[in-house]
Amino acid sequence: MTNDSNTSGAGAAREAAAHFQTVYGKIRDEVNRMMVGQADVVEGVLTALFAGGHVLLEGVPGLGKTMLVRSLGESVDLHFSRIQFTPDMMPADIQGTQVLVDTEGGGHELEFRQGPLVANMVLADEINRATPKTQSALLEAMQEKQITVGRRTIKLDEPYCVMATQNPVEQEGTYPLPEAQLDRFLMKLVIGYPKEEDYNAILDRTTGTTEVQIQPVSSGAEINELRSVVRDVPVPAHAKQHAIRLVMATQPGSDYAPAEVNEYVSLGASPRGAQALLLVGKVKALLDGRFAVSTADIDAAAPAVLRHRVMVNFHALSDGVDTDAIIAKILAASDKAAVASA
Amino acid sequence: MPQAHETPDGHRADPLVGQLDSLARRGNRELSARQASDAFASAADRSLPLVWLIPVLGLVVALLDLAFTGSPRLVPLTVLFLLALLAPLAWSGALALAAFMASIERRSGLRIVDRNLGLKGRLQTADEFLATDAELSSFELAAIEDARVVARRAESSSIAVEHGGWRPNETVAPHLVAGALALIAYGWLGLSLAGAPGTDALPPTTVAQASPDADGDEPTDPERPAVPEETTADADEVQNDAAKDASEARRGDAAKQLPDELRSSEGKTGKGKSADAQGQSAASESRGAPSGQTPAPPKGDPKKALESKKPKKKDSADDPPRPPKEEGDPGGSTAGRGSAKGSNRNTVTSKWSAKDQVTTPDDQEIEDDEDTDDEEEEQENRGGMQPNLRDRRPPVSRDLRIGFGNQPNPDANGRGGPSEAKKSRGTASLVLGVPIPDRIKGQPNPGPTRITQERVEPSPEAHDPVPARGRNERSLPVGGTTRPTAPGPIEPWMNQLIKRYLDGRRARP
Repeated sequence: MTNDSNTSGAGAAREAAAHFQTVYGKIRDEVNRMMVGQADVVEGVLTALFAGGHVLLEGVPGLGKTMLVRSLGESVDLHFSRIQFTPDMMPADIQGTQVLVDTEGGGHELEFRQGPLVANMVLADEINRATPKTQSALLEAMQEKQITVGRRTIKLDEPYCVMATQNPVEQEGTYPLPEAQLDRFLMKLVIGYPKEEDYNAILDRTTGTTEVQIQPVSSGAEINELRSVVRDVPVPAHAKQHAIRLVMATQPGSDYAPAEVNEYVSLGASPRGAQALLLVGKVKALLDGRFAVSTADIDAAAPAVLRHRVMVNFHALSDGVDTDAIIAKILAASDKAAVASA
Repeated sequence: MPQAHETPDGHRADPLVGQLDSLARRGNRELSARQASDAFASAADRSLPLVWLIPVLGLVVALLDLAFTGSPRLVPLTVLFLLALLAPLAWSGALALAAFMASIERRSGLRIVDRNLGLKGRLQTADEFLATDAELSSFELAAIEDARVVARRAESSSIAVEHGGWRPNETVAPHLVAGALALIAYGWLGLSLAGAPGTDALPPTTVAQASPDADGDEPTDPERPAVPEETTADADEVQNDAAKDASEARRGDAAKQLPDELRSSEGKTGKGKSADAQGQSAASESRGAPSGQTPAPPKGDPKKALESKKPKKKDSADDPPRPPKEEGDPGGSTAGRGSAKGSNRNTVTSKWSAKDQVTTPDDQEIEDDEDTDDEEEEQENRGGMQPNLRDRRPPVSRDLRIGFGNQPNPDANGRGGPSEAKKSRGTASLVLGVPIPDRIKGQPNPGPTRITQERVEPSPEAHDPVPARGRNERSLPVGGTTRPTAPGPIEPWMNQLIKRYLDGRRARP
């Protein structure tokens, strides 16, 4: 293999990576015209969009969760729909149902009306207020990208992305998402309060007369194209092994589980967690200007990817140990093992 | 893509492979050094706490030898010291050498280079892609090209591996102190044995000076190993005290002059002791003098013993320390017994305490001196004599349960408070380990209504009778009510209308 052949073969990858970074930067800048601060959350949402996954946003009211998703939908020029979940909402309300309509001849016939789930970008606001029956209606749409109502199956257009929000405080009258539902979210992003310097910009933008208009800077087709670029990023064996061991470390009783996991974790991540680690790691590698996933990318993706896939037990709750602390312990143990084995 | 040529180790023929080889070797060297350092630190942390082991073993062996044979063979103190210190270090060094010699994989060397130079796995990734047989994708080729750039930089930069180094753990200090104490005890044993007449177990220095080989006159004792002359120099290095050296030299001279028959005696007579040794023994005997000089009070007179002991206790700070008790020392032990028996009599005596007092002579002999001393010290620590609590009575029962009739409560235990059965059924048995907030479903009802009937006997009440009086005359006319007058004449059709309306009302069910 000569250097010239390498250089010519690598040129396509370099162009694709540069294009990815350009589009990513444009969408991020457009969203940041509306959103102030929360750079990590914006980056996480965009990462999930390009990795082809769904996002669960968790934060107290008033932090801009809904605005973030709406801004993203507008900047990408995708079909956007919003569902405000309530306890009396039924699956037919979001999937669609058959309604009786008048025909020209004076008769009547049943016609299928699509629900708000049929879109490119769906904002499922306060998803934990819906009953499990309605929540489960999302499962098929999120995993198989299709909706089945009666004998009718509707294929959802790509890119399809569900961004759900939930309020961690008001838990009265809510239905916590089941594990199967949680596992289908690529990432769980926790939105915190803005910094002091961000408050000025937030107040200026929202209490004045000027309105920020989000302009579309990309399209669904371009997003699909960049998603395939992300999938092309190779994963070396050592990075893949690192991701596998990280996921296994979340499972109590496994060979790689630290003592904290055995004590505090009741349910670890599934293989879907390893898939998510690699997908997010690929996006992070491209954003970092590299052409292969490294263990650092896997580590950076781990908190958001594993946060909702690790269930802590009662001992952890009583000791005040949360999932993020467990993941931090796992990463520390993994790093220690890597140093020892290096 | 042209088919790549492969190197003997399975990699594609690429200049980058040579660079990666070089970097991997550097990484492996650094990794070996770090592993050796870590192994040494780990082994030292584990083995240094055993630094006291060899001195203690030497001491125990010497004592056992002394007890069984009477002539212990002492290893020179310097040798013991070096053994104690060098054995853990030698063990740690051996483990470190083994760790340094262990083979390390190539990818581990590249990983350490990647890690320490912050290359985020570029070298390792390129090495992996170069070793694959399948056709490389554009991204894999780009990754290799990317690694080519950073490999050049990595060759010119140093791989700084952080060696943790080894620092003695804080927990080692007590073990070092214990080892030093054992060494001191060992040396003291040697010195004391050297002072003993006729003993073969002389300290290393003395043995070297008093050995027959040094004189060349006496035959070599086959049971005694030949002590090299270096031991004298070693002992002098350790024992820097000039006075000790001088006394040892004198002791050595004296030992040379001693006849064999005195050396062979076991020192019971004291004849075989040298001048210094006799001085030492004399001093030790004089320590026991007060106990021997003070006449022991008789067993049946504890008050005298108590009186004789009390000022001793107060002035204990000024008094020299009490010599250790020895079996067969009649003076000291008698004094101790006298004070112990005296302390059995409590000065604040009561009936109960008098009853509990042990007066039989057999029991008095069972009493131990140390127990009595402990009691007195405890009382002094508490601020003086403590009241005797033996005449306390049990508290009054506060059991509030009502028995049936005159029968007492069978569950009452006489201790007051709820009984055992009550405790097992009480609130304590309902407390859960898990705090669960109270939950009230619905509205709590007001509870059962309690009706209390009071039987009240009728009692006469005084009242004033109303006196009769005559009626007055009527003020208003009686009979005949006024009728409203019609405003005008009633037409016949009006009468008919009203009649039909009323007839209709009546006909309606």
